Amino acid sequence: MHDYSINNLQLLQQRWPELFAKLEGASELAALEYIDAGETPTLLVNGIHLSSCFDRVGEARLQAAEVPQGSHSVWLYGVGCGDLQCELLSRDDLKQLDVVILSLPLLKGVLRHFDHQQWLGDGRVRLHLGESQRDIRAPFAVAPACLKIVDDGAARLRDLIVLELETRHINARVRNNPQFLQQIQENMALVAKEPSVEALFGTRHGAQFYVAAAGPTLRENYQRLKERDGDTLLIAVDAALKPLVREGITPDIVVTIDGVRDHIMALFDLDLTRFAKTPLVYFPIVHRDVLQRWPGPRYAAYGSSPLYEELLLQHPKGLLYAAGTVLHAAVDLAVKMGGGKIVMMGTDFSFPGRRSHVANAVFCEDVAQSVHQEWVVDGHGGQVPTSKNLRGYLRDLERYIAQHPQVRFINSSRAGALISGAAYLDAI
Amino acid sequence: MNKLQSECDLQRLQAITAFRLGREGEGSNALVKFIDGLAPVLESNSALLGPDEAALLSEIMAAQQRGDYLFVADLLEYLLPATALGGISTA
Repeated sequence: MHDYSINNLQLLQQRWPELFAKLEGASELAALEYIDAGETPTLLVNGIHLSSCFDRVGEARLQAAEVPQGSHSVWLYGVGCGDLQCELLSRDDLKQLDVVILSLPLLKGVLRHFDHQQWLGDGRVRLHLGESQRDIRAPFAVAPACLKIVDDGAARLRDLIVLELETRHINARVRNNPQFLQQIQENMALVAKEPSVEALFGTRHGAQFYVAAAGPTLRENYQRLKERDGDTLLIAVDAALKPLVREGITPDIVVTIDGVRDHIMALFDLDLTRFAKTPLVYFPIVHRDVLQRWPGPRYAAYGSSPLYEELLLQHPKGLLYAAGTVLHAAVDLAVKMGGGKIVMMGTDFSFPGRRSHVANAVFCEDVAQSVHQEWVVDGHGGQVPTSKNLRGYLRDLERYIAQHPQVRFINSSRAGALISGAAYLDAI
Repeated sequence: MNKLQSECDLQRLQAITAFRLGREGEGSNALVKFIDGLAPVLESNSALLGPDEAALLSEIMAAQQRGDYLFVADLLEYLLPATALGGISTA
């Protein structure tokens, strides 16, 4: 096994001395193994193969094909074994290749085991650290295994890349779900005659809102919620309903947007008589059984999903932002009602204390170490376990927050995920 | 190759491509459909599931479980066709 470190690092030091210095200070990956059992060698890092063991070049060619021919400037996320860089640089019309390093310890490993001089020496290449990138840039290619080995500072960027890679598939699954389409059809008459969520928009200019989700840290806020004054509105997502009611807290508005009947029915399976005057804001995908159980006024809203395009033309209603989670819709409702300060509670996007939800929530359970290997940075600067879905929701919320600089967003707990753009309640 | 086998092979190829491109959800969905497609064939011809095939399927599931998706793609693309299961899922 040859050690390529000297030549690779010389080149790196000449062209990117600052990056070289950072690399020297980076730790080594303990669980890194050079694998030469297949047709082409690769690295095994924490049980993850960095590339194909059989045809690295073919794999890189497939990944490069995601970038439109004729692109002059391309972003590449992850260094990998170097094959994808070489494949992209073989294009004559490529003028600039921006390669983003997602892990310095991994870079150390690949520079030792593979010859990277060809692409490192190419004048069209620029190197960046993942922590310096606020958003993803297009067109881009990805060395996908590198998304599994990421420095803390590059975690947010990784999540945005994963979100981008998966979004098309997620949308297609929702759009093609016959059950959801049928439920929308069944709700058409109801939606047509019910008021639009727009009736609530702009009714609380500059007000403070509490938005309650069902993350484990919701319980830290019960006293605050019980003592809230009449000027502060509490919007709860459906999953937070049971734990709040158990504490004697009645939300001012409830939001539900999910189409899975049994799942949502379980969230509303409680004595609802106290909600006779409480508005329920819903998307038409919600099963009719759920809507009919609600004793209070209902307001219809649409999400931006293609599911609602036709309905929006036939029966125009207000739009709420929701990229996969009801929390987005609850936050957007608070903003559109005129919220000046929005305190988010139980919005953990993770499993603090290895609990999935707050106690008394319907799906509250212990989260085994082995089930969720993903993580996000928490409010203390550490890592807290999460799932890919929750991470995606978090990044979409952060983008939303960035688009609403006029609103003050507050995160009530440091135990869950750090939400970029939201201040901490204990720091204000 | 009959229609069932053709569909099965399509799912295998979709899983391989999706995993190599980092589209894990799409790849996992296709992999589930591929395994589901294999099941009725194996029920009607259990001789196809020898020790090598069973070990390979276990290895695929273990790799998927730990998130080693490029290796899943390798197993589906290069090793599976060399087993008796290859006769089901490839022309």
